Amino acid sequence: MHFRTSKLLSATALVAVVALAACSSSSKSTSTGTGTGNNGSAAHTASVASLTVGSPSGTNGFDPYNCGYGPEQNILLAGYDTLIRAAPDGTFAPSLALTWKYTSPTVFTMTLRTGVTFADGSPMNAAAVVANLTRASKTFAQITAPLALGMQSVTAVNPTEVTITLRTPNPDLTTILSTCAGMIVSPALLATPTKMATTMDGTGPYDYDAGASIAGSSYTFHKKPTYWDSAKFPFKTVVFKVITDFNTAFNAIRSGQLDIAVGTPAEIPSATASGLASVQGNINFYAVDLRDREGTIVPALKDVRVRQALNYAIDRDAVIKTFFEDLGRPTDQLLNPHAGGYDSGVDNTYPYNVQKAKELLTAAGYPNGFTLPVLSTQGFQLDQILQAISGYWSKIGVKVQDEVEPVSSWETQLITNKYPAIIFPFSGLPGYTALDQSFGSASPLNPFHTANTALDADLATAASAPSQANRDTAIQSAQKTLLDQAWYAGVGYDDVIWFTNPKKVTGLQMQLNQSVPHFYNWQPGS
Amino acid sequence: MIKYAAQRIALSLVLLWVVVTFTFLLLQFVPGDPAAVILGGQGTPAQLAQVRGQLGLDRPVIAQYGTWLGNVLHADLGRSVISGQSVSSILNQRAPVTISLALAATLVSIVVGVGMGILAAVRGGWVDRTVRFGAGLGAAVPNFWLGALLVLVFSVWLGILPSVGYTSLFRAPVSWARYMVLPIAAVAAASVAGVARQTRTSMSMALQSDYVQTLRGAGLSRRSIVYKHALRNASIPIATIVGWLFVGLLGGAVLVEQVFALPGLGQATVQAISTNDIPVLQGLVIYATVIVLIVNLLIDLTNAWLNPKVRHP
Repeated sequence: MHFRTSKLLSATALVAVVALAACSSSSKSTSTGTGTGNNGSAAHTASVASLTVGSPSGTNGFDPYNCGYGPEQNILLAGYDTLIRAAPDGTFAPSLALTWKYTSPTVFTMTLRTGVTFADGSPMNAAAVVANLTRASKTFAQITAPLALGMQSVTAVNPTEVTITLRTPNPDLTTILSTCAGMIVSPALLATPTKMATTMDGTGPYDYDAGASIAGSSYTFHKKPTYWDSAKFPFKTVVFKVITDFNTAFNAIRSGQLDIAVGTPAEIPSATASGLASVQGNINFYAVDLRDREGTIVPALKDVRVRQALNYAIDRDAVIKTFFEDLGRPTDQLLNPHAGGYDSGVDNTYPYNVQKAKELLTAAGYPNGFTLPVLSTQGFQLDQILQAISGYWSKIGVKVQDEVEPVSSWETQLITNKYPAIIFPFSGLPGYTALDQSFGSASPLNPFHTANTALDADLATAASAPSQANRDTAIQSAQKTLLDQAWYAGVGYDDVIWFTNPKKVTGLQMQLNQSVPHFYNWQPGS
Repeated sequence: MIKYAAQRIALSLVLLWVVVTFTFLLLQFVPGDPAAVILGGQGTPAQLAQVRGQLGLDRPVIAQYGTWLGNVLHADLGRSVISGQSVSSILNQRAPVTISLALAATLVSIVVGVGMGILAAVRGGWVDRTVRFGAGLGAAVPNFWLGALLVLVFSVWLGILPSVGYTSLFRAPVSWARYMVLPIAAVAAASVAGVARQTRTSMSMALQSDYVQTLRGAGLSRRSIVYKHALRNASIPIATIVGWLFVGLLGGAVLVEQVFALPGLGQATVQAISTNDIPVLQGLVIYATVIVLIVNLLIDLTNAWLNPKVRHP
């Protein structure tokens, strides 16, 4: 081929690339980083037309009861309001419910906001709330479990007042109703359940644009012309892009394709250099739940000395540093510092001591260790953390049989008694819920239904305590029991990081017990 | 030619039937309750009963197969157990992304690869060595690694091309091109190498053949000899591998779609595997088979048109 022809082709290719680049509407972030830490809120100097959020996962359809505590919450919050809003500092703000209170440990009443309607013009009222909560009481899912197990009845006292009667006291209803379990769906859509997976009809600030979306990949929302809290949602269009790979998401936010993305500790220096801001929080407590405490499958687990040995054998500092660098928090206490009942004195109940672990195993009659099947999954770094723990346990002769399941089946296997142990990210829920949901004798996450008299008594006291101080004392005692009896082998808290482009958005704050900064705190950047 | 085409179409339909049947049998051979498998081990007894009813699992296997085949012929591939969306609509949404990526990458592979191969065969010397080295490098570099490198250079450092995103080709062609330049480059690199090598070999052989010597002796121009005569004969083996190229690029799209967060069939496959969304996986198998069969059919027909020996053995 003549040289001038090849030259022509090269020139053509170069012109094409330059032309494409010239059409670029995105701009690279400049290096005016604000560093790490909470970036607070900024003045509303400009309204931003659109916001693009990187989400590490999509939704399991649009039914709120298929939602968990992860990123899918924000996608659903675009279209559905919860009854109560959780503020980042752990307090609660009115949403569809204006006021609420416990009139007794088992009776919870709410007064609803008026003037709010669904897409067909029907009012959001007590009847709609009752219809939703009744469905919750009959739907056994992770997010609705407390209502399905604990709610005896829900009634509409009048068009704006709802009363929930519980079978047993639960002091954390406010938290529960601020999650997907408290989202209110239009009764018309409730009547056609087959459509709930693919259709949204709520009172939330945005309308879902199905034509511009691809389920599992991108979700586009346009702001409704009228909304009862419009100022909280200044972005006209919000697009959630599902990007499961952290590296891809990080490159996308650095190149301006995303305005918000989840990150990792290792990326902080590059993010800062790129002018990105970040918010962080210690949210999830990683532990191996030693649930076969009666020794049904693994007889060794029946002996408390064996369970204590498993705790002594883990170098928590090393594990947390490996996965979360200096930003994680090694501890064997499940309660986080913001939870009522937290006691810093028990943060290191089982300091790393291999010799002591071996002595305990020998005293219990297992000098050569034993095999322990553990349910795990690749998601949330769980399997990687289990591999690290396995390495420590192998030094005392305990061989982990890693039973890895895809996330969806891992979630369903959690409530079966097929596995003597599971590795689990206990989210930093309020004290009572955090302990009762996982270790209460009737809890589905305690499928072997092992009970401890002192623990059950403390949880019952916490549930019906007349004051927060009394509740905290009972929860503290319950946590100590769990540690003394070594019902789990804890490693510590992770560090959840979200990066933002401060020129586009500000106001992100980590929620106390959620891995996702909630939607309703975001404002345009400066 | 018509008879040949009819034979190829009939064979393709038989192959499709085999794949559809195998996909049906896949669920039958899975141990345990297929409804439980489809619901991922979750579901109330009522939901399990509903799925069994929908699938007709209480009927004889032959009757179930007949229903399954009938549904497939009506493009009814069931519903996702995760999103509830119909499998057909999921795949119809995502297929254009992957097909446009694979087709564009194939086109780039052919144009650039053939060009490089011709250059190497005609010029020889250092040009030939350079092209062969480049081809080796392109074949050795993993496409997902190359994709990540391209993102770093063009999106993050230079900021001239986007790292994620997609627009339909028919809605906004220029925008489509902007989003797809890097993924196409990443996917096509190895294929360019393969086409370049094949073209170089074929062209070299053609240029050394007796008929080309005769044409030179007859005084035809170099351009005429290379493009009008030698290339036509050299393109037969190239046309043969294009079909394989496309299939390979379709598979390579899985990793590249993850790197660039493209909402294509590859991304859907990864999500369906990680969530045990069996109806979607079944649909993906059938969908991918149909795409590959259509492309291979077109390649075979092109091959037959280029080379009469193929249609008259």
